[in-house]
Amino acid sequence: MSQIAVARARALAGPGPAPGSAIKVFLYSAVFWLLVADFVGLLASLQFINPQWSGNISYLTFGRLRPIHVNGVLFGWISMAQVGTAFYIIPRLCGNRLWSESLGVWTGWLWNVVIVLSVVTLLGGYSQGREYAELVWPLDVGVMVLLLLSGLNVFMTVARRREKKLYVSTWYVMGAFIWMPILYFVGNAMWEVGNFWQRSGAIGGINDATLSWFYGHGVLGMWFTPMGVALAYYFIPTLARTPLYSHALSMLGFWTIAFMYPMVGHHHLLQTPTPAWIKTLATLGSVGMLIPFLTVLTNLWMTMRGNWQKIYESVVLKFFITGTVFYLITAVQGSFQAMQGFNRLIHYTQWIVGHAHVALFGTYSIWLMGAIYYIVPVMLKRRLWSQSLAEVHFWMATGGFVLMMLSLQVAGLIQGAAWLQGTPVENLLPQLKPYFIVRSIGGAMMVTSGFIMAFNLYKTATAGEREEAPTRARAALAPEY
Amino acid sequence: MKIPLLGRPRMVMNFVTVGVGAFIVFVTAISIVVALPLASFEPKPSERARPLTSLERKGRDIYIANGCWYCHSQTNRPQDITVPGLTTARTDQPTEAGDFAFVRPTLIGSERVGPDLAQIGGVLSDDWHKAHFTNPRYTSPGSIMPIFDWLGDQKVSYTDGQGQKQETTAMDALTAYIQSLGGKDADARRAVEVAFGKLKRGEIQDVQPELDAIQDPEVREAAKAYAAEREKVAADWATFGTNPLFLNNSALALGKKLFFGNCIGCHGTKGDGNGPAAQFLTPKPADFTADVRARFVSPGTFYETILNGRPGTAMHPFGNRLSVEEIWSLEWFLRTIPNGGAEEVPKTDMVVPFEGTPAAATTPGAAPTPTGTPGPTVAPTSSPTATPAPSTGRVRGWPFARVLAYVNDRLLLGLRLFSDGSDSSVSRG
Repeated sequence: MSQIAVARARALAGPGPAPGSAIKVFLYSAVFWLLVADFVGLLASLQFINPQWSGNISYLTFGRLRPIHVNGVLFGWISMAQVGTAFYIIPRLCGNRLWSESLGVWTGWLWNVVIVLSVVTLLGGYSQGREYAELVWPLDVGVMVLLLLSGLNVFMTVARRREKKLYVSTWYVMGAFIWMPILYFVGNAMWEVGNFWQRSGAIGGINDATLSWFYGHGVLGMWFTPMGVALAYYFIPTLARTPLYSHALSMLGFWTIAFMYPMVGHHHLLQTPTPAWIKTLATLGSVGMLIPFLTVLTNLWMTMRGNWQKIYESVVLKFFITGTVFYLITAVQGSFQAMQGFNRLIHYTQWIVGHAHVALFGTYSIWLMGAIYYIVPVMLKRRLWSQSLAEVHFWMATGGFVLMMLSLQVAGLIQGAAWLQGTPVENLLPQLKPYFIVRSIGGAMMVTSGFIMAFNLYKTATAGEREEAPTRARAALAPEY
Repeated sequence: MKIPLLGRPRMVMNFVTVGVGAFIVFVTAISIVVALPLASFEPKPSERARPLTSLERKGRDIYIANGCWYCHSQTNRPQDITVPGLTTARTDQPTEAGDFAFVRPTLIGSERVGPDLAQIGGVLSDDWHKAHFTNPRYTSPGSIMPIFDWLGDQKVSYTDGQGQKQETTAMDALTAYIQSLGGKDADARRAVEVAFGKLKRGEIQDVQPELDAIQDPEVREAAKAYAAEREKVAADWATFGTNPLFLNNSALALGKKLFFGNCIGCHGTKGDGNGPAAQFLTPKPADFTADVRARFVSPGTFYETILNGRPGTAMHPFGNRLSVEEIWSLEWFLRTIPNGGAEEVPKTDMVVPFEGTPAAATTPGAAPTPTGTPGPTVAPTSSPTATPAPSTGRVRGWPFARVLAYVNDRLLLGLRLFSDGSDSSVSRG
């Protein structure tokens, strides 16, 4: 596409906001929702230690706080941050600017409105009663609109690209924006309107569990994974200043994710009375997921070959490499959890909770935090205010997270073993308390690290050293902003 | 790295391949894992499944709104039933696909922090639930469930059996829903529970007419069979006059620990039936301080009541939580309460022996045992947990031994705090 056409497209969009505004709206909001959602999660975790602290206040009970934590993290923090970072990397990979900056800004604000309404409705107890799909029907519509609007922006940007070849990150972002709206519509059973403040968004009978977990795991597989992997494929070669190791491997990873990841959701239901063939398929799919996971990791780590010392130069790269390590843990756990034998042990235990956090915090959140440390200073044309504070954030987030992961997963193994030996669920609770305390300590570290990041970004915006010309590392893939 | 089949890969991944390809592959996968099961799998309603009433549906809305389903699963898994009573009493069948025939969404859950509720209906009385929602620690001292007292202030309206609009509290609606879990099996248990409750409160003289009035024939037969079984088991055990467990201080200490861990919510720390939950319960929890109960209620009745619960009261089955030995230890301990076992360290000489039930005494086949104490071999110092050797205040010997003695004392302090209810007797060596 010619320069003139781009200019014309931009002129049609009107004078509008400055380039990068949409990214700022998305990333700042994402950090805000990270703080809110993580803090709510910490509050909820305290109920495992002292259930009396919520007093007689409905809004503070675990059942109200947990969906706010989960949906806040999924649709507030991770989704907004991933769309924001996609708005950053896609124009750079396409050699142009975002198709419509003002549409991006509006989408960002609308997104915040939807998340605020989600928090309010969930706090008031309006829920559809399905995990990750709690939002009531009108908000489902809101989320769909947001996905389609941001998808439109991304697709138009790609369609009007100046760089002919599509880099692997672009495939993944395109894939995510194709998959997620379909997944959200089908998985949320959005055609079931019913009484839309409460009883809607589910089909009848046991099949709803099948649909619900197709959706629940699909949000991870068809939205967070492709968007997250796109980031890693962009930032690791950029920061290592090395071309990506293998194009063929990235293709193998992309197509296996597209085909196999939608099939794995049913591994949540291996212990429930659903058809055996679909359980088998889910197990096969889950084990088969080792192919895309390991190809992605091989590709990224081989790109790092000869560049490993660079993680000491860049805190951003440190975040990304740490994320890949947790990605490996997620992959291996995920595949083996889906096998009937191990699943018998860990089903319904805290192990599952720990595992969910490995993917969503250990991998995608850690990657996004790294990306934010890179992108926000570029957007602001300033240097990061404190590199060492970013290091503190890194170690606190990682350390707190490891505490949390280990405590939950050890607690899960204890639960699983004790239940199989005949200990009633309620008898075991006092023995799990130490693990719940460690979990909350880890969680408190993670929350604190988020506040450190927010403070660092605030100081960067207000007191960071101005930097008109980008550094060499940034110039490589950040030609304009 | 070159993979021959992929040819010239850079040309392959263009806008159309990625866009259309990603769409087609994903839709193919959806048709396999979503469309196919939905089209091919339509389980019939199971024998126990039934639609919810209007009130129960309201309760279900409250269950969903307050996220009860995050911690309480609703599936009795195959591995749960191989362990008798792992989840709740009488949950002897794994959940079937047809159990979910009338529900939307399923609420299977992904986490089990509290007990599974798939078949909880009819196991506990409405009174118990009211006390439990008001403060879960009232009925279950180890629970980590938040307080749901505020549900009592929230109003919901529903349509009753006659088609009339009624209003009640959210707590009652939620209780109705919980009591429906387990479908017709739960209905049978609950009918027995309700009928015996009326009998205990003196509202009716006989449970049979109540049970005969049940509409659904399957539920009626199941309820009558269940009631008959309960009465027979209770009658058989009433004649069992000997606690078979060897009586010593260790058994009493264990019994006391279990009493404080499981029973004080209703029966109170003194065993006088005045725990915090008692205000919600009719009939009132048993008072163990009066020695008539120990003298005239057989050990077998105590055992069976703890094991299976007592229909019509809030006393629910503990057989899924306590081992046989633990229940008999508890039985021994309960016999010390009239002589101060709950407030002091229970001793073997505090045990009030069973003298025979008035009915059993007239039955020739079941002569009451004169004493519950099995033998003279009981030595007060035989149990280190219950009565640790009193510390002389200063331990002789090398310092390490003194440190050890000190640590030992501190550990025992924890144990004794639990079993004594006071730390006044603890010496610090």
